[in-house]
Amino acid sequence: MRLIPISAATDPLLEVRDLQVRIPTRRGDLLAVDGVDLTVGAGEIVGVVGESGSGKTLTAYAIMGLLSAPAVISRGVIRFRGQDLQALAAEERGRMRGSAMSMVFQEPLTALNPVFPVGTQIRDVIRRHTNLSDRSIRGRILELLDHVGIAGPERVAAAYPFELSGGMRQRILIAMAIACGPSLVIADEPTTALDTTIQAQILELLRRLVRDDGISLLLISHDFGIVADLCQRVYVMYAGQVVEHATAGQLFDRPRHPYTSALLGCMPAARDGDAPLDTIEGTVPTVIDPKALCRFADRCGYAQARCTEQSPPRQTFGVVQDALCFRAAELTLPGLVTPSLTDGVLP
Amino acid sequence: MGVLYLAKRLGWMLFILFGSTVVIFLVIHVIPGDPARAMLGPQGTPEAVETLRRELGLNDPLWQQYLIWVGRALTGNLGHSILLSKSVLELLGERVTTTLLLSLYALILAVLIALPISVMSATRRNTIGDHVGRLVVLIGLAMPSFWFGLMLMLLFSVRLGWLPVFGYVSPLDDLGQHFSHMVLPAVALGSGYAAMIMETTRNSLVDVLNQDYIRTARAGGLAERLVLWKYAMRNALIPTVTVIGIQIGYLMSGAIVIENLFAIPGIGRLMVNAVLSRDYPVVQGTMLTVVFVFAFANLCVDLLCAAIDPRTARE
Amino acid sequence: MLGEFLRNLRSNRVLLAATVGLAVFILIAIFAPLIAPHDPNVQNLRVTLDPPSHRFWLGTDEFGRDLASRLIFGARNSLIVGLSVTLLSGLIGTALGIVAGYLRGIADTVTMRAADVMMAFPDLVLALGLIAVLGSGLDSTIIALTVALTPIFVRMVRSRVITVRTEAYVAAAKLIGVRPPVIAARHIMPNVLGGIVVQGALTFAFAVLGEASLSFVGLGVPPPAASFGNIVAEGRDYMIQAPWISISGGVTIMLIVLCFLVLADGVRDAIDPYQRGH
Repeated sequence: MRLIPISAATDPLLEVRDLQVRIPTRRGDLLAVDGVDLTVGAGEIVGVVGESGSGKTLTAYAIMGLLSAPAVISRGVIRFRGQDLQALAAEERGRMRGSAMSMVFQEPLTALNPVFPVGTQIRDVIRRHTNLSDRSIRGRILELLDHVGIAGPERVAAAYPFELSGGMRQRILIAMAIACGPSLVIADEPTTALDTTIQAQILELLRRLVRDDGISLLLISHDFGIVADLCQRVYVMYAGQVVEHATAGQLFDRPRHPYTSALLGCMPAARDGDAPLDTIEGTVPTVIDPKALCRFADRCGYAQARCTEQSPPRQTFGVVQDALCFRAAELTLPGLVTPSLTDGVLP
Repeated sequence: MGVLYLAKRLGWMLFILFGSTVVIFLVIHVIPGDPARAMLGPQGTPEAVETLRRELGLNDPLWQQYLIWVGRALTGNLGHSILLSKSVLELLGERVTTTLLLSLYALILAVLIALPISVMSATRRNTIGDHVGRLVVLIGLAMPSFWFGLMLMLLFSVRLGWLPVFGYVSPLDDLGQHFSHMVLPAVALGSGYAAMIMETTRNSLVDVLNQDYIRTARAGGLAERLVLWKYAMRNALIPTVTVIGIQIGYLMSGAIVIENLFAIPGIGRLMVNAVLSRDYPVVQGTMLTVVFVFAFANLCVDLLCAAIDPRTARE
Repeated sequence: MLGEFLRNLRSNRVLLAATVGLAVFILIAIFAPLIAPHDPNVQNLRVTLDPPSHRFWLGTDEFGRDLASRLIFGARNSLIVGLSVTLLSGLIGTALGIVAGYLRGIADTVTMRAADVMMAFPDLVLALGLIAVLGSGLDSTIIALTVALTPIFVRMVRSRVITVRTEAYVAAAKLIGVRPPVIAARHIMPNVLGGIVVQGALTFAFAVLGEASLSFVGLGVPPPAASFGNIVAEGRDYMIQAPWISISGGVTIMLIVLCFLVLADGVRDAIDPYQRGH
């Protein structure tokens, strides 16, 4: 059912190489993102999964150029349509934000300015990136609201955020993100704060935008269910690193990294019958002095002596899959067993 | 903005005004001590005290005295000054504009000084400029305004001779002279007020700049100027405007002392003189005027807040 | 809270300086007769308006009184006013605030509407109205400033009580039948205490400023008694010949108030280190 090619071998839309984000703290520099490689092809939906603190949101901010002090990009390259983004002047970068690439945030309530009507907030973005007259901007706003499935766009455009429901607000944010025809949209936990039924509607909307408008989507989530539902390829992040990268199918069928497998084990639908849900003991470490070791070792059920003595190698499997683990080849890790969740992902 | 909201605020103001008349009345009539005796001083014979008591209606039941007093006040009859042989209303009328102008200048000055500094402080957090700004705030809060006024007077009027030492000229007589007389009082009065505004605006702006919607505005590519002055400021101004309103009381307290320092014939000076000479009708009249002005200013601030933040009016 | 405050004291030099400054101020005020080099009220017309010297550290005023000694005794009056006003309005405000916040209902409504009405008067205007009846003097100054500064105390305590009383542990105590006075003392007071200390420090600062303002317009502590406001007011007439009179009076007020403001800030940080925007 998916006609879009899975591999992004030819000239990806977005290419991140060896990205490192540093946050200076009193105890030393925190490596919030450390050596991330990531690509998004045209028309592709790519997922980034991880617990909070894994560096997935900061990766998105780095791509968008939204890192705020004291966080800085300390290494790496971000290419968008082949162009090195860090080489751009702040002004050019600003012109790109909101037009060529844009972002949808997690909390639709706090992500909209409470003291302006939502229409005004969309208008300011359009006005920034186009030379349209106020009249045509007005038309464009109504068209956008209609496009994201809002009934009565006139009334909604004049409303303040506090007068709208969570789902409505998220549609507004999506409308704002696609207002100037971006080729890449980054969605950071776009449905986390919403009810389940609304979640499904928003995901359906995102899927439609990718299919109909040729937008590429980088979807950040902690929820494998959503990623399984939408994404073709998935990056699993842990403690600032990509620990595994695979197609959604490979990931759920045959995860290669113990962390991926453990995350899958935490999903409510993952295990048969009455078997208790797994939990991963411990928390994501904050990396200040990177030592040569596997960062997951202290929480890993498969850890060996070498895991705390050397940095694990990145091992590749087939065209797409790779994992940052010594034992990636030898282990047979449990994946996702309930087929219902993976419907539409597996062939 | 809803009519309902407006009606609510108006009702609240009326309640406050009603309550304050009770307080003013009680202060003068219930506190131990006989106003008539106090007015006449030690020389007053018992007969004279009794006559004055009857004249002032002090022998009637309290509630009756109150109703009579309020009834008269509503028709503009605030009694006669015991000392100045003028009606209280007349005395207030001559002076209230002066105090309002002084407070207004101080307010404008304070806002003009405080806003740019607090924006600088909030956007360049923990730089030298920010630290200096915060120190200035502390000093501004701690410095007695009358003393600051005295120092300004010493420097600009006495030593440098740039400005008149004290006195007042009406704007209708000579606008230039009016302003040259008002500069130092307004600066002295506005300094502490400016410090309060700065403190509030800086902290609320720091808070607002960390909000999600600011990130959304930046993600939309909006210019930093627009993000700061439109998207952040509109939100940061809500606490600022509230503080400006609440602290108008501070401004009026300060005006009393500043008017005395600079010999400005406003209601503050009138009140102090009335208190010194126990001219109770004038004391009551000035208190009433101040409360009225304060309550009205707060009503304006409430409406302004509702205009800035649509959530207030629709709650 | 105390532990956190002491820890902050070690790392924050400004806070340390303010605390030491206040300790010095209080000691000077208490031991004024022992410290003051001269009698603050003895006139010596041979040395009027003397500039600062060995004999008179800060110079003399128009009656030849030693300014340093007058400031030292002024600190005493300032402390008496500040402490009395803070204790009185703190006690009354806390009691009313707890009653209003804990009982809610009619008690709350009456108390809070009364506080609202009182707060419709600027502090100094209410104080002056009271002094008009009471006559000026140390006692009247204390009463007038107490009445003016209590409503804000009531409001602060009440809002904290309301926040605390909805917490789960208070609800639990109520559920197992702990009596209201015990709940108030055990659970609510400790959590409201920090706010009271902060408000107390601010009240002290306002009381010192208020006393100085009242004295300055001649309605506070009556001369010849030494008071900061009196000293600035007296110096005003000799601004040209002897500017040190007003300057030293004002600087002293400012330093004391500054110490209290910094202290209030420090306590606030100790209660909730994450509350502030920096």
